[in-house]
Amino acid sequence: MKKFLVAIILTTIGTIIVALFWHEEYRYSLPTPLPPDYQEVTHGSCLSAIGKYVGLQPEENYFLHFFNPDCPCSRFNVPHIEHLLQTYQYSIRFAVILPEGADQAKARRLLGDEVRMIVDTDGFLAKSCGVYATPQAVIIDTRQALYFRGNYNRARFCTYPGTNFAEISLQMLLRQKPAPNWGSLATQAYGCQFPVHQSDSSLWKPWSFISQTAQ
Amino acid sequence: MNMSKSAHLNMTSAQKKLLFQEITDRSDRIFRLFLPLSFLAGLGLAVVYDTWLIALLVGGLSLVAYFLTKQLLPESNLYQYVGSAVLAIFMAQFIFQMHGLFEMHFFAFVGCTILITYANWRLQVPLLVLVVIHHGVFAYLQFIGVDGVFFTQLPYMDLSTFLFHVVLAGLIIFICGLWGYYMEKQVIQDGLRALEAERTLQTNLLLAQRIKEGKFEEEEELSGGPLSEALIDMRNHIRQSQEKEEAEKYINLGVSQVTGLLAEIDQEDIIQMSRTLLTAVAKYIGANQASFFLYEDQLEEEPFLQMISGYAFQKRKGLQHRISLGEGLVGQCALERHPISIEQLPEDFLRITSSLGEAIPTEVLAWPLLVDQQLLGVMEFATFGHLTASQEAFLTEIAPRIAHAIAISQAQKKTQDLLSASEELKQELQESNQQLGAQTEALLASEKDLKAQQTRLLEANTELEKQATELEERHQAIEQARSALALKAEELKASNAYKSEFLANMSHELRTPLNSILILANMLSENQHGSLKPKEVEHAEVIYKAGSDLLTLINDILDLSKIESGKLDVLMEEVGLEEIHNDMEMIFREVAEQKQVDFSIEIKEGSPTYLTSDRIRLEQILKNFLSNAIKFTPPQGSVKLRIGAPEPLISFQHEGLRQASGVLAFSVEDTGIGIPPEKQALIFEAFQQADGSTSRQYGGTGLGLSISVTLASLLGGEIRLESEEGTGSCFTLFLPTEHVLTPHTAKPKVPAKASPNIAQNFSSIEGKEVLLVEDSPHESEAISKYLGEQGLIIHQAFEGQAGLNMLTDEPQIACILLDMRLPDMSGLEFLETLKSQEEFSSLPVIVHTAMELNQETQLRIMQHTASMVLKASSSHERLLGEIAGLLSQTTAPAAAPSQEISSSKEPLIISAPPTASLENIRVLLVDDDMRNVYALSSLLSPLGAVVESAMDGKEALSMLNGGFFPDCILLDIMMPGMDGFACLQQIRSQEAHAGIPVFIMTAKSREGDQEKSKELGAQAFLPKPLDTALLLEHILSFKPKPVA
Repeated sequence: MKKFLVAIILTTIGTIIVALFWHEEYRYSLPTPLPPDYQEVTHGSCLSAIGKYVGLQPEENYFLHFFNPDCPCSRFNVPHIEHLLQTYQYSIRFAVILPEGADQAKARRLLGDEVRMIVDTDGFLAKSCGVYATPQAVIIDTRQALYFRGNYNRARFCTYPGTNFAEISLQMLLRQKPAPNWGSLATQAYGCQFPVHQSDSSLWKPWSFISQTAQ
Repeated sequence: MNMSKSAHLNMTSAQKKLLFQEITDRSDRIFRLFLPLSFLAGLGLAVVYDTWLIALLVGGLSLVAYFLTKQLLPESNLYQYVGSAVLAIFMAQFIFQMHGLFEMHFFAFVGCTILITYANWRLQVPLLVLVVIHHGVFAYLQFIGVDGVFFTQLPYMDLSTFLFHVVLAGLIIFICGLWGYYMEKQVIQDGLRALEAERTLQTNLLLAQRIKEGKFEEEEELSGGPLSEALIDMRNHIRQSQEKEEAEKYINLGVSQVTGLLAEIDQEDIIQMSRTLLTAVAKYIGANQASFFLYEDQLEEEPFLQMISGYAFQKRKGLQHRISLGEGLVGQCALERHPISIEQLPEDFLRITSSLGEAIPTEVLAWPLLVDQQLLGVMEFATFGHLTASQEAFLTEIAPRIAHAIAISQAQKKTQDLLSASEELKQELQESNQQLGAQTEALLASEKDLKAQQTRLLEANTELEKQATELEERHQAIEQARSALALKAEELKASNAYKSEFLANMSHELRTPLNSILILANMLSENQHGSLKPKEVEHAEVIYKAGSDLLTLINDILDLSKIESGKLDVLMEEVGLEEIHNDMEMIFREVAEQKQVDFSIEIKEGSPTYLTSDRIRLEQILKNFLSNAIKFTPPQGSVKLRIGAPEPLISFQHEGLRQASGVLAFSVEDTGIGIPPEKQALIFEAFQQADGSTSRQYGGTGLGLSISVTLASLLGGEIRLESEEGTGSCFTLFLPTEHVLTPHTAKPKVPAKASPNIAQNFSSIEGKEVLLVEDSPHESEAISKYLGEQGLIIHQAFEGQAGLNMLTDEPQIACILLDMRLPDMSGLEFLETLKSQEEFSSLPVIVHTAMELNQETQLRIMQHTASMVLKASSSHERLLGEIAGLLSQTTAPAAAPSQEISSSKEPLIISAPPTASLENIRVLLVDDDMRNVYALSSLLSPLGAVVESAMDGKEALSMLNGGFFPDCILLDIMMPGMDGFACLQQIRSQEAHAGIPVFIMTAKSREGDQEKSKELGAQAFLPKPLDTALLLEHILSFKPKPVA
């Protein structure tokens, strides 16, 4: 009887631990699933439509950081974002795009009070820029065209400086060079899904990853 | 190996569990500690990396899994496998928490190492499997995301690198597993050995138990190893010992029985005795028949054996009771003197019979009875059985005792016969004894006499020893007294030297004030202003006279002490006799005439014209002789000085005279009071005159002759006296015509410097204005009056501040006299305030104080002024001298400073004003005498030298060690604490200062000082007073050359 009980307990604990590792770590090793209604926005596309939300000014470069404070992957690269803000604050205009219903206070706590934050109502900005995951970087040049959209680094924690895709693209833009053609490691989005509605933003539902992986 | 293998099969699972219990417990303890610590480490990482969900849930659930399994199934080792899996889970957790940090993979290796402690290789399996699953899932997921990518976190981790890592990690885990396997094997082998050892121990314990119970017979095979073999050996030894003991017991018992019988039976009846003994022995050894033969050796026939008793003996035909040696068994035994035994006897041999039947014995034994190989008899035994070794040993033991008993019995019989013969002899002996008794008494009497004589001799000897001891003690006392005397003599010599030194110093100190007294008394007696009454003038003259006498006395004492302390030098030169004649004539002619004494000088014919000697000293002696002669010669008497060769055949005591080629005699004859013979030796002693009243009548110090004698010796000569009381005296000085050098006169004469004249020329200071700062109105008035009389204008201030104010009001004040004790400020404060104001910084100040100043204060004063006068009765004159000196210095600033501070040291005198440039030369001046410090500073500073001073050697060294690097050092020798030589030695011993030039300065140059200073590395040796030109020359020669 005792052996049976122990078998049940160990199986249960083992399952929970596997689930936890899946939820927190393994699933982010897979590319973020594409939303069913995803429409790709190619490089060079004009993004003037978002001008009224972001306040695009002519002759200004913009760096949009799509960020969800509840997403573990978003939190992993906070130090890298801080580095970018610190380094390029006078070269380009930064804005942090939060999904609707995100915890803004938490976002402020993580990224500081200085940076401008915009809540993306109905996911308009994400859709306009072709973003469906966090964290994602979007760089818009002075012509209000999409210069770069993709991951920050091939590693979640931005531990490999050679693949700082967003930062290197930013530097190219500032040198007025054409946008580099990164491979799928840069452009294929990894991380949490960018929640379009409030109900989707919660990552605490244990079943949420099942639906995501099913897609 | 085989043993362990077979035993392994025999080991039960319960035994095996027991064997591993301790190892398991220990490893469990490690896990109980390590797993919670890992959990806590996870929480710690969560704090930093915000990974609380994983840290709390994964870590917590892992702990729950491990501890719950252990709790629910404590008998099973499942929890150990769970623990192994938990280690893999913690590794995965830490990798996640640390953002995939590669180093966190090492946690897996920590885990597999800890698992070794269980000594169970199977425990590595869950860890290995989970690690493979964890990494494999990652690689797979990333690979299906992007083709060819396995690990995004580590870009260099391609598939081949990953596989290489897998192999290495697998190898580590395999080694850990292998180690666990060997440990398990080792533990089992150890356990089996322990089991085998226990079994062997049981076997040995059983054997030991049997030995303890006395079971020696059992010979079963035991396989208890070496210990069992040792136990069996032990058992055999015990058995043999027991048998031996029984045999000894048998023998001892038999011997004691026979011995008892021997004591009881009548040994005179030899037949009865033999029967008793034979019976006892036969019974004891179990013999069935026995006979006893006595050996007879009579002179008249052949020796034979006679049977005298038997045991169960049966008379038979043909059997003999008398047997010759070598006849039959008994005869042969007697011949060989050795036991003989026969077994397997023939049918017709004797039979042992009883009323029931008869039988042939199986063994017959003949045993000889010997005492020292001498045969006394033979015992014969017949028995049905065989005699054992113990029985034979018993016979061996008992036969000599029986033989002894027989011998004793035979001897007793012989003794009885001899006894009667001795009775007759005894009677004769008694008679001769009586005669011997008388002779013994006579001998005793003479011995008594001898003893009495011996006692007397001993007493005499003791007495002699006592006397010898007393003599020895006296001898020792004398020795002690002698050494005490020698010590005293040494002390006396030393104290005499001290005395002379003291006198020399004191006389010098005394003469200085006395000179002042004399000059002032003379001034008073001259009464230039006519203000003194005749009586006062007369008093002044008395003071002058008394002072003069005192000065003479002091000069004499000084001379004497100088001579005694060896400080007086002589200057040998050619002295003409004619000159001496003239000098003496000139000095004493008038004196003699005044006293109406006939005075004549005669130089004998043939005398040399010159002699080599010190003219001054020679004349000093002659003056002493002549003045004495004139003094002690009454009017109308005569005094005669004769110079010439001495009388022949005169023998001299002085070595110089004995070795001299020629001798001159200077004789002074008078017709004076003469000297009694008993006092003639006394008058040459210091402070002695022939008669105590002489001094009162004729005056004089009594030192003259003493000095003369010493001077004469110094000149290599001697003085002789011939005198008769009431008739006159003749003092003769013998001197060698050619001076022979003796140790006393070896020093070359150094021309003495003229002592500074105390008289000053005060005319230059007339009309000069002086500020007197003195709080005592009385003292102030006295000084003002005195200085006013000398032509000075005095401004009096009674407080420090008033003095300072007065300086501003009276700009023509040229000099300040300053008391150190003022009501509103100290003299030092006054000085410092004054010197801080530029317009007064060069104004000369004389410190006039009665205070005793320490060296520090003196030094501070010296920074501002060199003039200091101690308040005393004669200080007014000195003040005047100081003022004169300072006012004349105002135009010549480098002149010599004042030398008024009381000190026993010779002052340093600057001899010439220097002109050389000593720009930026650093000089360290080491001297304890402030005057010297000031004087040298005054000399060197104006030339541009930077002068630092130290009070003694120690201070100098501490300055050098403190970082002051002078270009040269001026070093005084005589200093308190560390003297100049010690200081120089220290300086030269330090590498940093070894190259600094050092100039030694000294006022009292002792013999060897110069050599010593050279040895120690001094660059120059400069006697005081210093020759400044020479000093500057030395300094300049060592002046560092500027780098080109």
